[in-house]
Amino acid sequence: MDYSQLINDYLENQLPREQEDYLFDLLHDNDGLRAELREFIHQEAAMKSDAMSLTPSPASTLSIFAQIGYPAPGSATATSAGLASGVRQWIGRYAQGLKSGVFCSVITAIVCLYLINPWLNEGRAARMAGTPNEQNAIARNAGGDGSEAGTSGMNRAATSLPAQSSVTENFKPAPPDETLTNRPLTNQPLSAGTDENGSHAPGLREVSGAIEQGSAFTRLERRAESFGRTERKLLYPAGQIQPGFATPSNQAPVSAQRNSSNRRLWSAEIEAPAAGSGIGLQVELRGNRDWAIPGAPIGLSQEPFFSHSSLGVGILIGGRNLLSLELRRENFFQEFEGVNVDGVDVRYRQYPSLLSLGVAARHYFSRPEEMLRPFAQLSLGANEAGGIGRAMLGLSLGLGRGYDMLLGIENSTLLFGHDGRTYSSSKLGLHYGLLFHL
Amino acid sequence: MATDVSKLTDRQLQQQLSSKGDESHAAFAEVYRRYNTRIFAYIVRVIGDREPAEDLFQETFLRFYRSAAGGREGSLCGFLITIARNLCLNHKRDRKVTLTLDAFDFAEPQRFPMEDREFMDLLRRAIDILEIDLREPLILRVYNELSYEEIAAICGIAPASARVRVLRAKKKIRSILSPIIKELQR
Repeated sequence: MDYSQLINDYLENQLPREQEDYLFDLLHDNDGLRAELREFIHQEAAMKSDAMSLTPSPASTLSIFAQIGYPAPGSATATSAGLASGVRQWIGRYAQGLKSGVFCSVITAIVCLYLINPWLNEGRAARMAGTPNEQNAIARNAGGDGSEAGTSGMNRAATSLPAQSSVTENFKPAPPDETLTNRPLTNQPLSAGTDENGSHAPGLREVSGAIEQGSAFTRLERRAESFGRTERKLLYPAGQIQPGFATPSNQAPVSAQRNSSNRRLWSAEIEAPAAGSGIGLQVELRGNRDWAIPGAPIGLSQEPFFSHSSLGVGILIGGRNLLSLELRRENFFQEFEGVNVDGVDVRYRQYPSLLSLGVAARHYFSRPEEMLRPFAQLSLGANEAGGIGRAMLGLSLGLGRGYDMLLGIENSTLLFGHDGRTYSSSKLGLHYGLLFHL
Repeated sequence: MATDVSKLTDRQLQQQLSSKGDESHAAFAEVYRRYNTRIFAYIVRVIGDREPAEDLFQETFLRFYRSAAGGREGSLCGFLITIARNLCLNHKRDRKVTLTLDAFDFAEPQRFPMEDREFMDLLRRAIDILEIDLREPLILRVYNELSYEEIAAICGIAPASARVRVLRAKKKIRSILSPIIKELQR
């Protein structure tokens, strides 16, 4: 008699009484058989548990009932034990994903708190306190370093400073690591060509008369050469500078900030990389909205046709890693120092739309078949202004075959240079979108 | 007054499915509620891949609905399994994937006790590498709780053969998992 057959029949309640006694006698005398029984029991329990864990996705249920034209029952995926059983099954099925999701959310919340909470950013808050918004001119070292880079359409301080020499006497050149807002600011009257915030007014020209929109960059470079000075260009081509700079939104009060500019929340994306097949297409649509920071930032320097959007192609590697190329149209707030045509130190602010190209590497923390898949993503890229680094934490929610919904928080930092100095600008975005598996 | 479909037998549900309107809908919903997890478990374990299993699962119930409208007699679960089985066989025929024992390093026992989740993964992989002739009766028996007679009818074999195949499948899995179970039980 095959002992395994006896044990199996016993576990299936199909062993006759007399053979059951016989089996017990054997078990009593045989350690190996007892071990085999234990292994069978363990194996049976595991298979039963596995069977319990297998439930069709809600999307399948909805699809079936939709195709036959009936509304899906609310608890269709639950077994006969009702709602409580269904909830338990759901939790059991997605426990791993939920745990990872909670962990990811906590980390994300901590990062967000650090980035946006002014209590944790006292230095920034202190720099901003009591600083007049209107003052953009930096009266120091007038014409000192000889750099004359300018851009048409930049948010520009008053360029005509009456009694400038007396003003500059009060100031000394700022040390290199000093932030802009720590410097004393002048209270010079605004010129005719600027509004009260120092922005260039629509249809008007600067009092200096040396700058006209669209041609300033070229002319300034030429002028710098004529003076025999070292030319230092803004890493941002003149042709890209915003023609619609002087918009009403641009005239909002501008908060004085440090080199690192404002952060914004709320980006949107639709993307479509591959999940199962290896190669796929990403299509992203993004949007930004200002986060609650002290003082309103300036408005968009230009209103492009298709802003905050991106296109990308991704390759899935091993089910958990996604490598993709991204092309984005996005806005970055920029704030930097320069010297205008009159040799006055000024602080420029602009909020241009930039075209960024980058490579993104995404790692999912759970298997492809999980419904909730937390992930982290790092991106490196560049645009007309400079280099960009991004980090994102997010969750992917499987909506059915071929479709995932993404939700994450992404921090992007732009590094750009002007007049030999390097500046940074960061923004924080809520990242959401759809992912299509091709 | 509406009938409480949850109290109907499979045969009564079958009859109600042949009717029209809300009664048919209620009957189908009840059949779905009773058997969706069993059918899904069967398909997933036979196919071994969750993503195509979702498609086959949907197709199974859609075909069942269309066929049931014709007033077919017999066991509902058996009928559903038969539909699912045909779809699975077609799927496997179209997409031949062979997993060999060589690809699965189970001989080396784990040095440390494994987590339950890892054990379950190993169990699934052990089921996946079983030959279909053994795997299917095992799934029907353990996952779908069918009798050996029902298994025999579905697989087209004798009940005694079904019994032998289930036992052989269990022993094969045990031979794979035994080192790990021993480790877990220490």
